[in-house]
Amino acid sequence: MGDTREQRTLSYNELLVLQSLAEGCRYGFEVMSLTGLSGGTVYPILRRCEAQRLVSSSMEDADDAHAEGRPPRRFHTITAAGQRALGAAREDLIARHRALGLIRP
Amino acid sequence: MNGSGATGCSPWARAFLAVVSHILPRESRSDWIDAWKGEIEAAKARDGGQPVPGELALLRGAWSDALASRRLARELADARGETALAARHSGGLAFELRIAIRALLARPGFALVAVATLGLGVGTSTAMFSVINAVLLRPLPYAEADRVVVLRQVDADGSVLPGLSAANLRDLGAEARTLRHAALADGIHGLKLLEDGRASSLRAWLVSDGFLEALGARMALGRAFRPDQYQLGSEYAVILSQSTWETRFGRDASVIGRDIVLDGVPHVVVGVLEAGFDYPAAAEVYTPRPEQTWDEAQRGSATMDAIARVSPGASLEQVRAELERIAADLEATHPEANRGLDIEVTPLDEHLLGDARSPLLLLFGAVGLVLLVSAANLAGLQLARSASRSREYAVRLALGATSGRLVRLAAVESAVLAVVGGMAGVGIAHLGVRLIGTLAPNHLPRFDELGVDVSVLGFAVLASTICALVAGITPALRATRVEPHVALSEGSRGSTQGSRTLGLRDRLVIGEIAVALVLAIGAGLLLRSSDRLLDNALGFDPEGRLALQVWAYDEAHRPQLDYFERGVDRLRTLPGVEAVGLTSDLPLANNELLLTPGRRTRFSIGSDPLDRVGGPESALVGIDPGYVAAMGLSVFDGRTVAASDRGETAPVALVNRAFARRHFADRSPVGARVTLERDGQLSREIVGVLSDVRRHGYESEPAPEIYVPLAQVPSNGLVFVVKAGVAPGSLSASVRDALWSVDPGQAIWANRPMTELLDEWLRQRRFSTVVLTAFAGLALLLAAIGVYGLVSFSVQQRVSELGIRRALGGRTASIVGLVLGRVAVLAGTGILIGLGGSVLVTRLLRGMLYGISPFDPLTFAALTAVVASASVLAAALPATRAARVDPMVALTHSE
Repeated sequence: MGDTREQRTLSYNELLVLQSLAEGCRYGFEVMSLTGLSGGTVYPILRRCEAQRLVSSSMEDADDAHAEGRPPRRFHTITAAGQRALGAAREDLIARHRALGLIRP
Repeated sequence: MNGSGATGCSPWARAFLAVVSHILPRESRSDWIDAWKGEIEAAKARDGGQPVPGELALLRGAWSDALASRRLARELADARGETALAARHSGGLAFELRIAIRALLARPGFALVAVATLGLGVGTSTAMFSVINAVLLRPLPYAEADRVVVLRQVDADGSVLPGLSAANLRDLGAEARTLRHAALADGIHGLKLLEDGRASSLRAWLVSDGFLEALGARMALGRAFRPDQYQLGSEYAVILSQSTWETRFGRDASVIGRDIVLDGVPHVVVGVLEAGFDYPAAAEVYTPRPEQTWDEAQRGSATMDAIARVSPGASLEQVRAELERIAADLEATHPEANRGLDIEVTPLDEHLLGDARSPLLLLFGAVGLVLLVSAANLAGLQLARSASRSREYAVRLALGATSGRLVRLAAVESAVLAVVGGMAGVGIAHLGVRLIGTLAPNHLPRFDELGVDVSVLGFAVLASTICALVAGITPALRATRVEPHVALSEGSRGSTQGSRTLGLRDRLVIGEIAVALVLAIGAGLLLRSSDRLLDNALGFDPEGRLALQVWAYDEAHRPQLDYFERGVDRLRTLPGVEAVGLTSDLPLANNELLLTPGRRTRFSIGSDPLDRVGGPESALVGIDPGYVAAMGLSVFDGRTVAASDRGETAPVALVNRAFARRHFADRSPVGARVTLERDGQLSREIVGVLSDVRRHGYESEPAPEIYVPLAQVPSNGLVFVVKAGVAPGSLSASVRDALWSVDPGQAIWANRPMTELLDEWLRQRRFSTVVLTAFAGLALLLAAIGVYGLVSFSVQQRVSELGIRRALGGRTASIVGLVLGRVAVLAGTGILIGLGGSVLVTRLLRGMLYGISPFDPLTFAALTAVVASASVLAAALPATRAARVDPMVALTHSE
């Protein structure tokens, strides 16, 4: 089951979301800021990728949050499987861009 | 870093999150809300760097997040559930059941129509079966009831008389070796029971020794009569029916051995019969009938209900052979009374059902056809469904499912349909049984026991199972025979479907139309018969008239004419009463509601000598001066009975027109003389001619009748006819009280609007007509649904073909014509077959028709038109839809 899902090709938006997590974003709103995607796109992608174990999420430490006077947030990090899928998708994307002449070798 | 107050999320954002969180599972709501508050506040707290999305954009994200979470949670749960289910019941029944239920729920329209079709078919046939079951199949409540026979005299002219005479039965019983307990019940009598000084009547049969034994009567309490109680001069004894014991004596067991006063004479109660014992009919009590001194003199009048039990080991043929010999002996010893004597032997159940059996079986046959139509409809539905599912089947086969497994899946699906349809059917049957109960002729034996019992339920289960299985498995078998790659490529094109599937559906629809036409023609013939029948004038108007029967006699059983005359005078003074009359024999009376002595007499006209054996015979009816006006009869010639016609004045008689026609041809009978059997040498002057009445309902022909003044020919049981200016039912209490005020000791036997009596006569016919019409309507509806389904399905299958035609300039009319043309061929074939079937079948109706041929061309033509137009109408809707097909949609259509 896991195998088939890892080999699933990512959509462009999924690639962007995973890439921004790989770049160090941890919150949904940071992903929105960085990718320019809407909340209606980003959060479902996060959920889906989480269900497929490409992303893992955890709650922020409650004490840290209280120290800042707000409720604990949900952190997202990319998993190893996510990294593999991202890598494959990135290479695929680059190959396509090259084929389209968007990127010159 | 800003303070928390400045960066907190806004109150309306909190409210939004709280509301939206409700689409999530309860246990994860608060975490989800917190996380989003954190998200929003963290975004607000962020300074510099990338531009941060506003609160609104984040809330939109929250909404999508919630939706996505819910969808994922469901998918997960489903996957878990099915995996677990599959693991637990891999290939098991419960798993298939669940798949079947899902498949049905996925197409609620199909499921609904299928369940309704099945429910209607099963429901109506089950209701009809419950009638058959109660009336025909359930054994009679008598011990070894199949050995009980009814004996009736057959006259030289072949007419069957009501029974035997007491003397003949006694001699026969002494002779016959093949029969035991040959016994009789002597006419139903009203016995007066005084309660609180007011008299009411108990319906009593006088039974001879052996009668209760012949029927194997079982006593709920006490015992049967002792032999000595059948002797003249012994103590009076009485046996109560179960219902009399319940209603009149409140189930008081101490009634046994007690005396009750009937007709002023104490009778000791010796027993209470078990429930269900009711022979000959409508008995409330039984009393012993001793041999009477006048029995020998009455040897010629075969009026007693005679029964016997066939001896062990004897066959019906042996009984008949022996009775033939005994009848010949009886004729030899009593040639005058027994001229041409013949004795008919009928098994009790056959006798009880009488004419009811064949209409019931006919209706059962009809309902069988309805069931057939619903099965055909269901099969058609399933075929349509399986055609559109052929891709699904093909995929399953291609993925390695065995065809056996597919058939099993189809069977399970059908079983689910059968169960649900069957349950709907039982519900419909329950309603149908109640409806039938209100319609049914009350002379059908044991109709009160009608209900849905185990065997009825069994029938429903059987009918629905067979229907659903046949209708369900056939299409699956058909589908699994298809090669997967053929079905896959064909199904994906949305082109004309495989002709074999449609061929079968065509044949089903043709069959449905044919059956619907047969039923419709049958119902039409019955309806037209009823019309013709109701055109017959009864000769009087039962509307607005009340009938009361009173038995008034003294201790010596002498009629109390004086009481009746005072009663008439008293009733005339009541408000709302327009006219009052008396008669000994009311038209439309039947033995269950009013007693009909049905007195007949031999007579001679003029100076002809009276022939007491072979002379002409006529009904003899006593009337008072008010009768003609109260009944609305007319006097054609001469006068009616006058108040001055008394016992001591010159004896007179009236005749009706039928009598005048038969015996006086064109001459007026007024002034002629007639001699009646009962009058001895005396002759009567005919003083008037009355209009004819159909005494036994619409179907009877007016028969010759002689009317005599009650003052000259008294009778102890008379009927008051009260013509009311108001609704007759509203008068019944005041009329009863008025009669009680004349003499509380005279028992009022019955008190009914005459229209009720008429209803009793019409019930049997109305029952068959209404039920068959309902069946025909149902069959037509089902056939129309079948046509509709077939056409809309084939239109759907041919969407792209129709689209191409449209795109190439096919006009609407020609496309509708294309679709309707096919329906016309189907309907035409169905109608031809139906007409042929009707010609074969309607002859079965012959006995129920009146004044109309079973091949009545008008009925045939009219109903053919009805069925044809119903088919066209059912086809028109989907056909016009076909005409509106948008070529673009049609050509890209791929489902």
